[in-house]
Amino acid sequence: MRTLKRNPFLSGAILGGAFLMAGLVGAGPVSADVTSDRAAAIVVFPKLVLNGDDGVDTIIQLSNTSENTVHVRCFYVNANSHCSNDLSAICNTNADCGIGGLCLPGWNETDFRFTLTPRQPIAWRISSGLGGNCVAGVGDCFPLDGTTHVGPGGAFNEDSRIPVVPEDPFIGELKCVQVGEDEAPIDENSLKGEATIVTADGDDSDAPDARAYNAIGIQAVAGANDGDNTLELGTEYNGCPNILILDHFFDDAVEPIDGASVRTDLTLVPCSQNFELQDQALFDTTVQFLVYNEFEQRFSASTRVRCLREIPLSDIDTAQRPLSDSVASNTGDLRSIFNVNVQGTLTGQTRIRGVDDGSADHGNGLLAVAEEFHRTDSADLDTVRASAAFNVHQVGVRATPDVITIP
Amino acid sequence: MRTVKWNACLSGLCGIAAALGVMTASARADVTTERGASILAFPKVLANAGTDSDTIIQITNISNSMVHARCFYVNAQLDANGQPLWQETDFNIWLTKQQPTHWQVSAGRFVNPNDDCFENNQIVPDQCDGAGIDPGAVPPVPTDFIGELKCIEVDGAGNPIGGNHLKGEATIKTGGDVVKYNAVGIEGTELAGATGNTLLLNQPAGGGDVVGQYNACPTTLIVNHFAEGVTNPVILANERGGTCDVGGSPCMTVDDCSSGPCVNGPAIASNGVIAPVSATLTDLTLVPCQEDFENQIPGQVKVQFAIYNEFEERFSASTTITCWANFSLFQVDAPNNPERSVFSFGTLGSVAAQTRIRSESIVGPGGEIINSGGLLGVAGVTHADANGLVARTALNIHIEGDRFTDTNGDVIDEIVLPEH
Repeated sequence: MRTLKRNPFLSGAILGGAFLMAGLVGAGPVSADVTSDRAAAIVVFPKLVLNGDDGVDTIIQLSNTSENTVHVRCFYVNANSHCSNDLSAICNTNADCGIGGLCLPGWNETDFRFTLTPRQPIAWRISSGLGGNCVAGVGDCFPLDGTTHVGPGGAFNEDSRIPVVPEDPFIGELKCVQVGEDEAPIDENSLKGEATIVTADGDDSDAPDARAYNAIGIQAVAGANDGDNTLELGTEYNGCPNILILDHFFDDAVEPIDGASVRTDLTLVPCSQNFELQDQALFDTTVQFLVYNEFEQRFSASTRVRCLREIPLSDIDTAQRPLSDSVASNTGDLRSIFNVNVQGTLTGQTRIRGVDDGSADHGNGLLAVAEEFHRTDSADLDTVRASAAFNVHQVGVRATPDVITIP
Repeated sequence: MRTVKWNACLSGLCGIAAALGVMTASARADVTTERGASILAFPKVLANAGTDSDTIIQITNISNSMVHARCFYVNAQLDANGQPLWQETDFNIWLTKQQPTHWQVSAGRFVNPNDDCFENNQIVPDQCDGAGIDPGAVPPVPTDFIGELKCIEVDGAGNPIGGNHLKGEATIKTGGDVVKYNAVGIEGTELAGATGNTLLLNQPAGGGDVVGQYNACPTTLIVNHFAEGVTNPVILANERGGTCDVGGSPCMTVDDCSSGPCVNGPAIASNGVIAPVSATLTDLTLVPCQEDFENQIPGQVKVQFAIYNEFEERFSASTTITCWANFSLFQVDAPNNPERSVFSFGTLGSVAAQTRIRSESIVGPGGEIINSGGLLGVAGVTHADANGLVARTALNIHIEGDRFTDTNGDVIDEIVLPEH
């Protein structure tokens, strides 16, 4: 009988190698590189707003940073909630729907496509779209229509049209994916975008207001795209971050420059989405918040996100505010851990994490944008003098990849 | 004599560990506006009575350890000869774990443990400005300050380190209006500080082996913007811009009216003063990556602009930046005739444009590089209605490439800190 001698050196090497391979091959953390300052293959605009009665509209700017023609598939997500007793009525809480009415969250997708020629920028209002209201080159037209205007070499915006958003008022998001001529996703990073939310109502004695943010870019990984309609963030594309970090004024803080009272709204959208099944419940995500004030004191709260959640910070851990309620002290806001009346310092750091629900099919990553509202009356939320928007920081990698499924 | 027995199994594991260490020595170091970094640049800081502006700086330590930073204000006010002062003031801050802090630039922030905002067991919000753990003695800026702020992460002894624990935002208020932008972060590697107070921005972007200290500055800055003088499309559609004298429909030019003039249409300047009416203007604030705080030598950069309109037509312009510059796009090539600028709607012929900004080194007569030419910046947009009432926004600028890779390592931007 042959005796097999164990080689302890090799055993150690093999053992170490096994651990190493497990780390590399198993469902370990995925790379995370969502960016708002580089061109990408997927661009996400988490918050779009339209309200014609109030003079609010959103301008989307999108450009092709490459020297090649780029094809794009885009998806508007209408996240309006509607009353069960009046489906045309848009609501924020049940109180907006009257007796017996429930405020039902919505998630409806509208998709469209267009072509951008090399280095071409375009811009459109979500209330008017582009290419739909265009007659003989007059109206909201794509710039290179192929008849009155063509680019160098005859390039034009072939087969391009951007619809208006489906409702007014409207709140929702826009996602655009770079695809090939066959409309299959490709591993090129050519898109960059910005959104500007403008308020210019009929009262021309008031200055207009504007706030702008960069679209969040998700870069494709070179050579990793299999061209199917399931976009895997973390393998085919960079992954969503594990934690979002928001530096903000605590709500109702009085900023020292001109004494304005400040509130911050946070808009969260899930990284995983299924535009084919359009089942908004698929990616319900619990969100954990850790809040640090300038005393290094720590607090926490949580909430849930379905589809899109646009929420003032002070509403995260208190009752949600009906659309018509503008009294700052209502709905318990002054008792929120996001409020200066609890925190006692001007600014804070909030770390935001989507909790993994254990599904093997998708992750629970989140993307976000923040808006700051400066008002002249500390008691009345309707006295906003000016606003600003800004992108949220990020850190860490997620254990489970997120998935976007497009039809 | 004690004999140490060689443990073969552990040696095997150590071999693997060593290999693993080599594999994980690759690092990501990027210029970023959304991740923690070791250098924070706030390109646009204003505390200027003339423009009714002031700035609030927010900086946060995103780690679970105490973090120290050396900060430098650069005052770029123009002197009597019209040249930027480039006067530097530095101070130190320290932040406990996860601590956010803030200060108003015109006022600074002093160490005062008694400046809380509790009164009669309640919080008084308008007294909370100084509440919290003070980050150190932050001086107020000089009167009528315009310039930048840079903060460098250091260890307790003041030596630069690549911890990447800092993030920041600047909130600028101008006459009641507000804009906000993220600080531009330059990530560091484990080699940060290896050359003492001379910080080398020579790590290629996007990960890979650690060869440099801090990420190299980008090759190209990319700005999406409206053509200068275009009416903001929402302002126009809501009849807050120009209107046709006959019929009253919105207009930007007389061509938009079936007959008669376009009243209160776009105008950029009046009597040589920038005073937009029904017009959108984009301004850039650019700072060179290379700065020498020890010898008080500002960076100087030649800047090339390539502008693309919606018809894929290309235009170009150029300028030179010393120390710090803030300018509206039209001021690059036509400061006295904005409607003739290559950035204007009249020249571009389209509402939207994409401008690609490249910096170039300034080379001497013998071919020697006098100034290397990385750039960082932030964009601002002013949207005016027919009454000249304005709304402002700020945006971080997109970036592409890195200068170290682009020049095969021949050009390295440096930040030289003063001895401490």
